[in-house]
Amino acid sequence: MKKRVFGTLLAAALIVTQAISVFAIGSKGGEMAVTGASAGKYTLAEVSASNLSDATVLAKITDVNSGAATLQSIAELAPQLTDQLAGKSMLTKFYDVSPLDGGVQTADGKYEVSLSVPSLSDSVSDVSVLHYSTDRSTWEVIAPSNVDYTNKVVSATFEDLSPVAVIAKVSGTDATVGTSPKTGTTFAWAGLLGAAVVLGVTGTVVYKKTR
Amino acid sequence: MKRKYLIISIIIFLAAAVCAAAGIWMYLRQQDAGEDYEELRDEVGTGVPQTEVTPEEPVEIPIDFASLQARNPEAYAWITIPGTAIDYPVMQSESDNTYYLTHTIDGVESPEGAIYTESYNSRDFEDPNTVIYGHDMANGSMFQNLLNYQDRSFFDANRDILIYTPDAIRHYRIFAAYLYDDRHLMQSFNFADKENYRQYLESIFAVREMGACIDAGQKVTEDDKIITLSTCYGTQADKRYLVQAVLVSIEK
Repeated sequence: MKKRVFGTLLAAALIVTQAISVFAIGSKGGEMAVTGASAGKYTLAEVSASNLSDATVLAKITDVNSGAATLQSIAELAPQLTDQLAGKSMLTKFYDVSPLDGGVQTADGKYEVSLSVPSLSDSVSDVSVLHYSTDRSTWEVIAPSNVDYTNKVVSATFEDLSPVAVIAKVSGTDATVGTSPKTGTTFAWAGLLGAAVVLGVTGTVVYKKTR
Repeated sequence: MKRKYLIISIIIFLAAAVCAAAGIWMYLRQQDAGEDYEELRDEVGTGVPQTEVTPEEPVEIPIDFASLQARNPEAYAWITIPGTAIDYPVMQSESDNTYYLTHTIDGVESPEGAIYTESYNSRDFEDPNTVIYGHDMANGSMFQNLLNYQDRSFFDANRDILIYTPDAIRHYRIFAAYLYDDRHLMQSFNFADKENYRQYLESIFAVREMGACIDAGQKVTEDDKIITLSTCYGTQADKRYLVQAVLVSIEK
């Protein structure tokens, strides 16, 4: 009898959990593209094993891109960035940036990159670029050389190129950057009614024990 | 021992009663969704065309915007899709893009919220792509009727969208209706960049998914202005159902 009772309770818990998990809110960055003088001088690609050999870093970037891990969790791999990542959100996902024909270089051989960032808006501040240097095996936060809110363009200079994401402080109302508003109807009521039925049956079974 | 079972059973019955009451309350709230907007139509009018308008006549806006904006100044337009139940004010919050996701025109917190745009778009419908959001309510209110466009015959028969503003009526022609992922369009595509916009439009006409209705004969270029109506798709949290229409004329 105990097995039946626990089995029924487990079923009830599953129903309720399922109803809730359907509406769990994810968070992920938006898209980016090279623009202006950078157009045709750089390519963007998904970060994968073909362009990033460090499996730990790749797993972290993949998780952050999908919303399975937070931006702040990168500090587990780069404790020196803890303060710089605090309170920030992903404006874009990580993309692997590669130069074409040498890219656009400064006199000292650094790469100048202009990125179109559609999620740049008035509710965004303290914009910076998060970069994992595959050449130097290190994470760094780069201050942009220019942030053009009107044309939604972020420009920055890099010593070398590899996975890049644009991050910023985002006001609370736009906290789910990259994801369209959730305009679905909720079926939580069905989960609650299901749970009520299961609990009712369970209560009846337990009550019969008193006789 | 029997006393112990009695106490446990009472606790379980109480939990069941609480779950049942909460479930019934939530269900009834959903069934009543949109009732406030029916009253609003009685007050400020409806966008459903009542008579055939000849182009020579000066345009008469059927919506009483003075009353509408007295009720809430953030109501700046009205959307009507003939052939559907969609006939609602369009809101845009000054300070919170998510406000009308959960609040009605009267500021009442409610699951149906309102039909709204975000501050990524201007309020003059002059942006290349104006994205309008609404809930997929189980009782058929708000943007639930967009899902009717999955049926090709319905898509072919109901292609017009009217957007009323205080000084104009904009006529749009629906050219695409399809299931998409949950990416935020305004944060994902730089529509102000003509090349990006052109590529985006090409990607729409390249949609080949089952159930997608695309009018390949409707010419839409990067010089056109479109609206995107977005709603959720059942319990698939990572999907959005989009209906897109191109501006074909403005009456002023």
